[in-house]
Amino acid sequence: MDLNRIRQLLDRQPGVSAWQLLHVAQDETTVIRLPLLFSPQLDVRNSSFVISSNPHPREVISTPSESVWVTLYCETSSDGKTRLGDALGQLTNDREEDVKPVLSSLAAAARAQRNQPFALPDSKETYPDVELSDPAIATLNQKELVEQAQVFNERMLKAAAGLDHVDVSNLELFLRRYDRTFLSSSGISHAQRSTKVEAEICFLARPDSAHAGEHTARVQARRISDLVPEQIAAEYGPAARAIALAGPAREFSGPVILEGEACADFLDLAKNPLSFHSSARFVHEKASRYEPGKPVHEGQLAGDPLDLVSDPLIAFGLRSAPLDERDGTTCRRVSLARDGCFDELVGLRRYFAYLGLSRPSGAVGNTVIPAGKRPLSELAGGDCVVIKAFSDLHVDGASGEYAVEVRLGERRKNGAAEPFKGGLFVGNWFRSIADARYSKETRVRSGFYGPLAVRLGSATLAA
Amino acid sequence: MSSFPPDLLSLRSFLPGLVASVGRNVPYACALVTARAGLQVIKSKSVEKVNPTPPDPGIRISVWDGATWHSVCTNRLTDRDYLLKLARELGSSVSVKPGPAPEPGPPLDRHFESTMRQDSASVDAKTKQQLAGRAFAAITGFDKRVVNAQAVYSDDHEYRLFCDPGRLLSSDVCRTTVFCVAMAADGTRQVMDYEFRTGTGFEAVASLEDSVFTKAASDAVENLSAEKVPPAEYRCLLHPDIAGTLAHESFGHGCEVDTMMRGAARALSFIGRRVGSDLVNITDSPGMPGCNGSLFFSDDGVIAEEPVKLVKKGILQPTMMCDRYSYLMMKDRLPGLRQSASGRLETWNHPIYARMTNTYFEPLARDQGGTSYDEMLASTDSGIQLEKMQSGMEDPLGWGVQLQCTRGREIKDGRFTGRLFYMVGVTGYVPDVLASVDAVGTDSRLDSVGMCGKGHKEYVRTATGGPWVRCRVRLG
Repeated sequence: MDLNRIRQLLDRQPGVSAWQLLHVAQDETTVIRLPLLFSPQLDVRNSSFVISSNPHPREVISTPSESVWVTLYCETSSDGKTRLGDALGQLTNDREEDVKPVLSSLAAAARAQRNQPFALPDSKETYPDVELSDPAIATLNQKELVEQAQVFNERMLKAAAGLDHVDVSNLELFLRRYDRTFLSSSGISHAQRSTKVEAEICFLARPDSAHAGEHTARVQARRISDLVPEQIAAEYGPAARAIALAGPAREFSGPVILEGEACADFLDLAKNPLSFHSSARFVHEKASRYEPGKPVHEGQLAGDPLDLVSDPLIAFGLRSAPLDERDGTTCRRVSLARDGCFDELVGLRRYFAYLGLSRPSGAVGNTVIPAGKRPLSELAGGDCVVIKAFSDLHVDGASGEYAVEVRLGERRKNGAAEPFKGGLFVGNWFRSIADARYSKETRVRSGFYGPLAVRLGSATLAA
Repeated sequence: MSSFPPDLLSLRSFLPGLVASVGRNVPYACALVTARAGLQVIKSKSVEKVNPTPPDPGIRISVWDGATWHSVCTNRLTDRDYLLKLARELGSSVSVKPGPAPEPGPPLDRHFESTMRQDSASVDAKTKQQLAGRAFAAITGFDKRVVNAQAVYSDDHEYRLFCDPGRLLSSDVCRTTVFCVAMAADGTRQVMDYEFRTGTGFEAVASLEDSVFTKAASDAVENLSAEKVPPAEYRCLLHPDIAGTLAHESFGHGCEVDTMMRGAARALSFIGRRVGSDLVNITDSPGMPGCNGSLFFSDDGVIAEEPVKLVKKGILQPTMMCDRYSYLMMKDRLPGLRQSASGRLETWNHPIYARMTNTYFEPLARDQGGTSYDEMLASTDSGIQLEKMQSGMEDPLGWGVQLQCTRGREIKDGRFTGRLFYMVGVTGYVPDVLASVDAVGTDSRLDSVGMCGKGHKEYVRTATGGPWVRCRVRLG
């Protein structure tokens, strides 16, 4: 698309006080494999299957696409005050006869809003250099991207072949390459190439004819080399086997250790309620419990105080970005919890302006939590429950309440470990972290940079 | 085709030539086009937003080589030469393998449109803004403990074109929704609740009373005094949305053939066997008019004619939900399997999977064992009524299930005690839960606005509902 032509049309659009434009050219390749096909034994009424191998992919998809996302800002006057509205639209070609009606509808939508104005970033905005593009993907053509995906998939299948009674039952790989350009009427011009690799790998364990279990690795990274098939197989394959053989959950109250994926789920800003309560929007709307310096946790602190940073500037971080594409604000590191207390806010430039704060944060970045002082072996010692995976953790953003099914856990007692599945891990996030101890070992996966495990001193498993 | 955009109409007549240009050396080729139009209005405490829906147009040209689907997708819909080039390159890039081939079926050229009294596109933006503003004012004015609210109005036309050597199909599916969230706080605690109304055209929301919006506010305020439910197994009355989600997570996901064929659904070895009480009948119905998950044809071109009966009188049926790939690979291995209109994708450049649409327990007439809601409540000595769905998660191999409900109301001796529970987690072993179903309602509703993922991604619009259902589940 000819961005200059679109810029000219934007500049000529009546009633527009400012505009921002994001051009995204994208190449995407998807390869899906179902390596084994199961069907029931037609003449036997039992649980056995006919299993055949399926050497061919289920689907191969190539996507070359290009879009321009335009935000129009329109100032109006209402009751003697200046008001600001904005509207976001998509262009998929640069033909004047197609672009003009879109811009007109966006301008009409923006003029219908009576929001408090705020200052948009201008050409003085400086963006940090953040590496986001994998050289191994960045220059490949579509055919080579498919070949790259197939190489990864074969390596994954080979890694799983060494597992004990565990197969890969589904393997999906998405390779994405983006060229993004952000322009604004105030003179901002920023271009960046980025890549993203996403894999969903289901490990199916059938240790004997009576037991089966599946565990799915959902992993994302900027670089394909950050997804190591052998490591993924070593973590998720044995977990699938443990799920297959796990017994039912039993009622438990006491220390619960969240390890690996369960720990990251519990602490990641994508799921934890800190992102809600540290959001400039919800602080402005007085829906947050945020007060700078006030403890994040509820109740008496009995464990390690929480330190949590939103960091969008980590090289090749999944949630790294030099600028917030929603409004062109420079992204920066933000300390959301320091020494167990609320610290800075994160969110859109608009809400920082409404709150009278001068340094907007840009978008939420990667979750960074420093390592704790104790090794996992110490945290998980004694009589406790270790949870390794949840079915699907949802923490209520407002209250912090959660009740989540356990996909894989272990009851540890007198030196023995008994795997279980099912039961509900219930509690309140803010009360839980009052008695949390973080492991010395760390984990980096899909935008989470933090401890491998957290021990919650007093937790409940309902079964 | 009165409401169909002219550029898509023009593309409709172009598609047969495009599909033919793929070439004759492949067993089958097809093309799918999707696009949207609509408006969203959001009113919250700090801003009001009015935004036309981004059209997200795109085409997916696919060929089947006997074993694999190969697709090329792009949003450059206006460049016809480019599309023809992509199609020709795709056709010449594959090598044909021995294997089953899709049957296009008898020739069909048909257009479908949602039925409605008033197309939301014909209503001006100001009226929609006023509606969202009225909802917001009603919620925030209800009680000083309501500290925040958000009212969202949205309308949407979802356009689809499908073309293969036998069929040329198009559809315009409309949806209009008002969704309100209220947040209440009392200085020590923040809680939320919601209320919504949805339908096809603007008539679904045009004359909503303020009481609809204040219900979100009053429920949120009530939730301030709610407790955490004591963990235990309870006899529960499930609101239709929650009962439908139980159906969806249990033998909805468990009966998606692409999950079964990779060994990840235990239902594969239970076809024809008992998985619930005699009262349990579970159905997925893509062609049901006017529901959130309704469609006229699937994204792989199968007309939505018949509901898919998944469980009948407690017995798992061989009629499952399949996309075209899983049907081709399994039709000779699963006797009784029929091609269903279940192949769906999140957006035009995503894979097509076997998916649900509108999933529900079937209501039962009185002479078939159905029970009215009042009778169900009156005959519950001790239990909890679960309301307001939050989320659900399937486990088709382990047969676990997870639901999260916004609230539960305690029942003693057939009456509500006034004791309330907030954010109630529900779990259980699916066959035990379905075997415990001892009452199914006589009336049915399917008016939810859910989205469903395949695992944790690939979200598509679905509805859950049906009658009230009573069963035993574990809460926490």
